[in-house]
Amino acid sequence: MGGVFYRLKMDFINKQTSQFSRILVLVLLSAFLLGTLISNLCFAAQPDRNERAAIMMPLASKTLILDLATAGKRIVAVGWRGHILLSDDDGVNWRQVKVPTQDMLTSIYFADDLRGWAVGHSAVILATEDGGETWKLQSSAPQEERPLFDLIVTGDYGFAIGAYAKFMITQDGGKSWQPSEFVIRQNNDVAYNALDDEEPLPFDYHLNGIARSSTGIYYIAAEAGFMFRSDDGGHTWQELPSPYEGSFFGILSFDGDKLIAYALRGHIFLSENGGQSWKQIETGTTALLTDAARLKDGSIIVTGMGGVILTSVDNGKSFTLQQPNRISLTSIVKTKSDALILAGERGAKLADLPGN
Amino acid sequence: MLSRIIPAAESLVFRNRLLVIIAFALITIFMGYSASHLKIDAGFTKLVPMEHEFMKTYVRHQKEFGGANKLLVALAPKKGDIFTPEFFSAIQKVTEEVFFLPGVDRSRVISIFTPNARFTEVTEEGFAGGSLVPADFSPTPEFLQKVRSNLLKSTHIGRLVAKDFTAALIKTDLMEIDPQTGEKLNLLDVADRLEEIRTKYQTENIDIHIIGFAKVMGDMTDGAARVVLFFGVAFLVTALLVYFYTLSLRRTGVLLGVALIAVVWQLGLLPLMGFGIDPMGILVPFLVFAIAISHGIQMVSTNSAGIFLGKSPLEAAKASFSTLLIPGLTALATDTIGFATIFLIKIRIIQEMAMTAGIGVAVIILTNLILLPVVLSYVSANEKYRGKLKKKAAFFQPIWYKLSSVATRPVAAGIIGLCLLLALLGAWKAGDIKIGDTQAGVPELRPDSRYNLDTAFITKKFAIGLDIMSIFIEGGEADAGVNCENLAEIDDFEWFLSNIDGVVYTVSLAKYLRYANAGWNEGSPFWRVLPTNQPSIASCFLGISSASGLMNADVSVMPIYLFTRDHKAETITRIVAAARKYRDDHPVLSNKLKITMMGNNVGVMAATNEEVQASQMPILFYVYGAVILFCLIAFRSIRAVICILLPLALVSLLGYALMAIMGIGLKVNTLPIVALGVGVGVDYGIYIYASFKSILQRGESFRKAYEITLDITGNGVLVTALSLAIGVATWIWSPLQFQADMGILLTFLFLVNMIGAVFVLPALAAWLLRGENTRNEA
Repeated sequence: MGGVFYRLKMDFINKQTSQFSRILVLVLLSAFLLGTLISNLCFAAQPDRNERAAIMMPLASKTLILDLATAGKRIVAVGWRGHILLSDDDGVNWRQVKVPTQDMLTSIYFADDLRGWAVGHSAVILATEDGGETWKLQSSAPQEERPLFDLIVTGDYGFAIGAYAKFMITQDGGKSWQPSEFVIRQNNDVAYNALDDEEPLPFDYHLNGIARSSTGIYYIAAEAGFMFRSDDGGHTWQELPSPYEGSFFGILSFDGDKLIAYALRGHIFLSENGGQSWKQIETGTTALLTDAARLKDGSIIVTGMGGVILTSVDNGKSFTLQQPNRISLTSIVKTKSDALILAGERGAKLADLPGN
Repeated sequence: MLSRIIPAAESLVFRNRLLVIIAFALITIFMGYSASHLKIDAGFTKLVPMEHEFMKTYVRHQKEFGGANKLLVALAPKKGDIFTPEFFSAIQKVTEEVFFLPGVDRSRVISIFTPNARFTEVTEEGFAGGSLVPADFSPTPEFLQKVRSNLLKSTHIGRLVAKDFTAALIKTDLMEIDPQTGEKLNLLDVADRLEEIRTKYQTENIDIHIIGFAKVMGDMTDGAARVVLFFGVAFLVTALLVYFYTLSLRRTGVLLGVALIAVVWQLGLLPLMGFGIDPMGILVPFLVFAIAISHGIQMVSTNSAGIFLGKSPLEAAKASFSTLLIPGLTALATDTIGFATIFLIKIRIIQEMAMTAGIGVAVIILTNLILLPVVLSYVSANEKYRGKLKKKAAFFQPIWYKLSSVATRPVAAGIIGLCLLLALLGAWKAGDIKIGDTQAGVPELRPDSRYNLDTAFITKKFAIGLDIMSIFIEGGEADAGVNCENLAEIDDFEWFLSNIDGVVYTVSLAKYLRYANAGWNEGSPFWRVLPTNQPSIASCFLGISSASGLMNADVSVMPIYLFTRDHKAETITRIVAAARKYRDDHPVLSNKLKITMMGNNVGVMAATNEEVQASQMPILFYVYGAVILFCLIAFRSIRAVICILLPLALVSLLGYALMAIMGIGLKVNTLPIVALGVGVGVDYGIYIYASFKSILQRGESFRKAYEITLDITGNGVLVTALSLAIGVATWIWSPLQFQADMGILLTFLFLVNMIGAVFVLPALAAWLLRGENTRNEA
């Protein structure tokens, strides 16, 4: 393009052109500029798939939702196709908001009533500063094909985890994000990204879910039976003894050192010592378990695929199974008003659970 | 010119009376022999507009994606659930029976006992799966428990077994051509065999429910057989009325005989032209009989009038031949053309009806205008008969006198005013008429028919939408559906479609791959997205074949199936409009993909509705065009056209209003009725007008002329309309909903057309013709 411009310009300056040809050149030049402009506009009108904004659709609130969070009294849901939905009436009505991505969003986290982040496929990180009304794309890496699955921000430090040990950090309270290494510490030695001293293989399993205890200890549930614990605020990680070879999808931390880890094929494990030892709890289901929450009365609810709802009233020592329908559940959240909202493949709504 | 042709024709016919009768007898014998070869011929493609864009797409993809010709057999234990040895043995046997039915696409038979019914589950190691019913199955409690747990891991709950395990399904597709014989599949044979299966395997513990197009055709044919009974009733009623009208057994016999000859000819011509008789086309011989009677009565009436005046039978016959040749020809030609216009609807069954009805009416021209007067010339008339006629005339005379007051201007004004009011009412209501079907299940059958009860059972027990549309995404090259970008476009379109009001659920290759991708990632919903690289996509293709219906063999065509809430026209129209708009906005998806519409049963309905909607106005235009043209030729007067046309138009309008009020939709079955109604109605008008005009020209006063017209012609019109109306009214008790609808409409049209011709026509004439007529009433 530059070449054409240059030649036209030289033509214009060097040749002692007549008035007519000068006008002709001017017309040509402006036509060329206009053409370039139009083609640029057209190009802008058809951006890459990964840069398209989520489309507002009537059924957005009735389709797959993957995570819920509260922002003050508001509930925010994220899901398929970059959908973000807000409910200000405990899950009765939902309203889709504009989001600058069409990628599936897998997780949402609010640091306070206004500041929150959503992460998902193409490693997108979106941020809001107005309780979910408007969203800005902070970071994305579609070519990597490593989706993000969870995040947490406490103070200035925060991290997001995802597929193939994807680990992103923020050190400015979520204003910017940088790719980082998932650092596994063995026997108090820092062994960067290596599990085995003799044959250092990079750890590239999926990191699925984050938990933080009231005492500030972080846990990560990961693929293929891996679980990690961080005592230094989420900078370095220690592998926990694993009771299971299947994937863990999340950990619920409660009462200090108590943990409930939920996994593939209906597996639940209880630890009462910060993950040093685990006990398997019978669930009566083989469904993949997706999320857990502890209610005001101390009972624990675990959700799963195929409509599985597991309830424990004895701090996780036993669970009872409910399966009112076969609609998969992905997330459960307790609102400010102590209502429970359940989300899944048909959207999110107020849970009608006995004992709540 | 006419003044020379008519006497020539008259002498030609009546000089060779015997020859005429012998010729007709011989032809009738031949036609009767031919009619005995008549086959019942039902076919799917006949009922749909094959030239419609949707149907072309449907036909193009039918081979690879199966058609709208599905067959579902549900077995349900009367008590408890399906996990009993008895039930399993039954469904295994019925599956085998269905598998070996003629025309069944064997690759598409699926039940819990077929090897293509599989389950998969995610384990710590990856996928595990197998057939729902293990190969070494035997009906032990352990195996039944195993099948139950396999089902729970599968996606077949709600599809192959009921959501509550109280029924199980066998599904398959029927092909249009039977691959074993290479001939068109005999759907009625399939329907009979299905009924045999039902009788054989239905026990006190197990119910069998069967639905599918073949079954519909079977049930419709069985129902249509009732038409023979209706024909009998109509025949008797007509005979009775004709006897009271003619007061002569011989004349009644001649008239009915000649009408039957017309029917025999019409039926005999069908096999000669390569047609069969269709459950829907069974209407046509009925109409032919009706029209033959209607014209025959005019002939007998004119003949009797001659006898009454003291003519010999031969003279009377000659006179009635000459008098009725022109009005008869006009009326029948108008009928023929009227029916022929229905040919414009590009739906085979309607075109066949148009053709066969047209032929039938053409036959009537021969039988009624030639054979009937010739035979009547042999029917002697004695003084006793004349006396009977005189007595009858004396009895009716005061009635005709009273009725003739409609030809006086004040009464006429009142009638015209009333008609205007009715026209306004009709126009207001007719606007509410619905295109297409409104009722659930199969609209051709009664809502409480066995078939529709079976449909209700199956839709209640299974998460099966029986109302499906398919939209095809054509990649134009092999493996188009394996490409990430293309799949994303399909996914986008599918999401758009599933957001249209009326779409309940969608299925596509893209959706399947999203779930498969999650499956490859331990079933985690985090991965329920389209894979973004080719190796992942390739792995997701493992385990599906083109038999799934999600793609064709070389993955160049990928359908999106839309399960719709119902098949009401407004639902269909809304979905089609939205899909069309998306297609217009996205002429090519991802540079290569093309959207083509549309298949499956609701797709076919969409095409049919559009065709019906598109032909509705043209049909009326052409039918009325024919009426205007022929009336102009016959009477060479604009006033005549107005007198005959306006009552007809009013009746058509009221017919539409009736349909709207009764909830009868405008569809393939009912669309021709309006044209047929006009065809029959115009006969009355033409006869009355012709008679009235000729009597006026004799110099009678206006009212007197109409009184005489009523005596000679109106009389016959009344009897005809009454007998026809009673005849078709029997249809209202048909087991077939569409026949009942047609019965209601035709009864209405026959009666109201008669009223229009007898009362409205003279009222119009009173204001329009008086000016022409120089004489005034005394």
